[in-house]
Amino acid sequence: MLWLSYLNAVSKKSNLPRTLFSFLSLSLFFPHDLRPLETTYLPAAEPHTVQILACLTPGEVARLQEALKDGYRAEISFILRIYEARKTVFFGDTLLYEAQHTYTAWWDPVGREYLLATPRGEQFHFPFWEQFYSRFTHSPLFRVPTLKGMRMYTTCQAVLKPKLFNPPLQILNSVGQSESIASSWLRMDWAP
Amino acid sequence: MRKDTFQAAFLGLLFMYLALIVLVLLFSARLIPDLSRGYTTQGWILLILALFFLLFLLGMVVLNILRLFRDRYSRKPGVRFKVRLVGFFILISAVSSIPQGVLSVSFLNSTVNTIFHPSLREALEGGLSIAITYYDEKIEHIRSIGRNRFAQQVLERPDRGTSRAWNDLRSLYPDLSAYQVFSLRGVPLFFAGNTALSLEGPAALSAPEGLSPRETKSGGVTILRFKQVIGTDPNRPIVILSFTLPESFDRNAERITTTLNTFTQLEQHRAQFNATVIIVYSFFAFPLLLLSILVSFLLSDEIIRPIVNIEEATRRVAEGDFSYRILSRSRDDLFHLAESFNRMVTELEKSRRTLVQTEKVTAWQEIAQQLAHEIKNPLTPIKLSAERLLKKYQEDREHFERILQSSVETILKETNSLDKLLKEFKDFSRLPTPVMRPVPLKLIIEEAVQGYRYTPRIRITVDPIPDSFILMADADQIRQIFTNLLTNSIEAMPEGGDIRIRADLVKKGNTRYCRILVADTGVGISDEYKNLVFNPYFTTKAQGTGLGLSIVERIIFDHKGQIWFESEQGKGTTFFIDLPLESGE
Repeated sequence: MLWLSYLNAVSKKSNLPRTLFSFLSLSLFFPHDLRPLETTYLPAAEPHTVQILACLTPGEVARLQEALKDGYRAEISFILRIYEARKTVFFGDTLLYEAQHTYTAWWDPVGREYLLATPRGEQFHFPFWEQFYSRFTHSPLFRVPTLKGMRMYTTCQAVLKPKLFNPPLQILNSVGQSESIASSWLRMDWAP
Repeated sequence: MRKDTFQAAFLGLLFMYLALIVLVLLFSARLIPDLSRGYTTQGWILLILALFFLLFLLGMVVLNILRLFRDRYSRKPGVRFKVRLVGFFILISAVSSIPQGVLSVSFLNSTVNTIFHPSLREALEGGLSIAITYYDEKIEHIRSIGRNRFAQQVLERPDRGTSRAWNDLRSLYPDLSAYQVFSLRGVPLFFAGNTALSLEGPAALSAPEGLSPRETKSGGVTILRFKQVIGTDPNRPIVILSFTLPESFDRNAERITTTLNTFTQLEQHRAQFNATVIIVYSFFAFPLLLLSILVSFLLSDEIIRPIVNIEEATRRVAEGDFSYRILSRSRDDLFHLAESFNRMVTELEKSRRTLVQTEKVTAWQEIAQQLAHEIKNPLTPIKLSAERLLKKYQEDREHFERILQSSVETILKETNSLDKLLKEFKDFSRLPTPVMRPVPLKLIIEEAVQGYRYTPRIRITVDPIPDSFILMADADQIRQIFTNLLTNSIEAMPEGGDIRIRADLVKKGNTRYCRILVADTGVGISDEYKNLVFNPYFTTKAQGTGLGLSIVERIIFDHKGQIWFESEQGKGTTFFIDLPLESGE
């Protein structure tokens, strides 16, 4: 099932070399179909914007909560790619732009609240899990410019690292001890 | 593989290794998310790449070691030296890197274990507990404003004056740092206290009523704010009370929390951490070790190549090839050594030519003297016999006939002796050029022995000679060697005795020889004559010409062989002959 889903996703991009490379690589490294994280596009709050919602399985939600309480930091990245659709077979579609937004979260045992930080240095406090989880799994608004006459589509992906090690254990991140969960790429076409 | 090719391959490998490390570091962040699906295996991809290079280097090293074994088995020149050099390099590399790695890893582990001792955890948990208690008390203290009637009276009666309210609140809460009053629309009405803690109107409006989450200023000051909307009037004011925690509170609390979290993580992943440290170290150190071993192969090749050239040149010169020269491309010390060697060989060749010329002259002088002496010996009896005949014929004709026969017999005898002497000299000086063809040694010896098999009182024993002993030689000349040696042996045993012949295989360098042994139980050779036996015309026998062993030596020299002997007077003599076997090429 994973293969069908994945081939469906990548074939829409008509990027044959990448598809073949990914297919061969995946056949080596991902023998099982695991789907603990998926994404969905939220209805646009403003025109020409996209917001991504990350959906974790209940088991992963519990693991995330447990990891935060154990003192790990968690990180979620929302990646949005904007493509121009082209009718070629071999060269694929053109990647116009890629945007990424990352939240880092942790549990503060002194204030007994969840903290969420953005790369810009903003910090948000959440005394309750539900508030925190809602914010953590919602991406900010990504602006998608529309160009007249150009057939465009976006693909999005969320990558969650539920357990980031502190120094000096960061060496474990480098050899894959830090788990990383990625969703499949989700496509959305934009009207020209 | 040629040396240049090997060097190029090695440098290419090194460059590829470094380039791929850079590429992996640069592009892994982009490549891996593209590959990701479900649980990503970023680390595994890096591990696999590193493992690939390790295996590649390992393969190269194993290949070189196998080549070394092959060279050693085939006794390639200089291979023993190369083995020693490579072994030495590997030993040095291992001695320097393995203990260093073990020490580094164990030092890191022991340091981590020492730092993250259980007592530290207890101390950290205690510290965190104190911080939480302090923080809770502070929170409770601030929250009590809402329940404090006097405080509420102060806050709800702004008509008393804000300055007075500030003073009253300070008397109730000495730790109050700032007092701010805003209109319901967020317009600042009054501020007292630490100006660094002042809040903008929009922030005041968006703050939740009651206690806000603590905030930390860039200077490290932690602020707790309490917001209250006073009364129900449409123009009711908003009051913000700001309290500060000790300047380092938040930073220290974070440090304690982080350290405690690290402690927990280490406890959960200690085994992985130790293994990872070893793996990461190995992935950096082991390729370097393998590279140093590959370098040792390269260097040893570079070092032994000129030595092998010199060894080869020395061997060729020793075999008589004075035309061999060493070529050297580099201009290092070994180049000068090669130059000196070439110069030496040139000088040696000149000296040899001069020596050969001198030896020839000397030899011919000696031969002329010997020949004159040998010819003079029979001439004396011939002259005396002729003079005697003449004298008797002139003075005593009666008795002339009586001595005629004996004198003529003497003259004939000495003339025959002279004839024999001249014939052997002719044979010696005109020894024909050998016609080389493969001949079995066994057959030649059997033919030579056959003529002496029935000599009275002489027993000849020939040990089994392998059929594989094939000489590239002139069969007639080789047969003559054995004929002369057997004749000498038989003449050395007038009372009879044993002669034994055997042949063995010996190797000198890359050349195979058969060593033939001819031993008799004769009278032996006295020490004073041992240096003279191969000299032409030297003999201890009454009827000998002294050319037999000279001819033997000459034939063996023409066949690129060697002859020597051991002798003990009264016990016998053994001649050893080394003759090269056919190589089969």
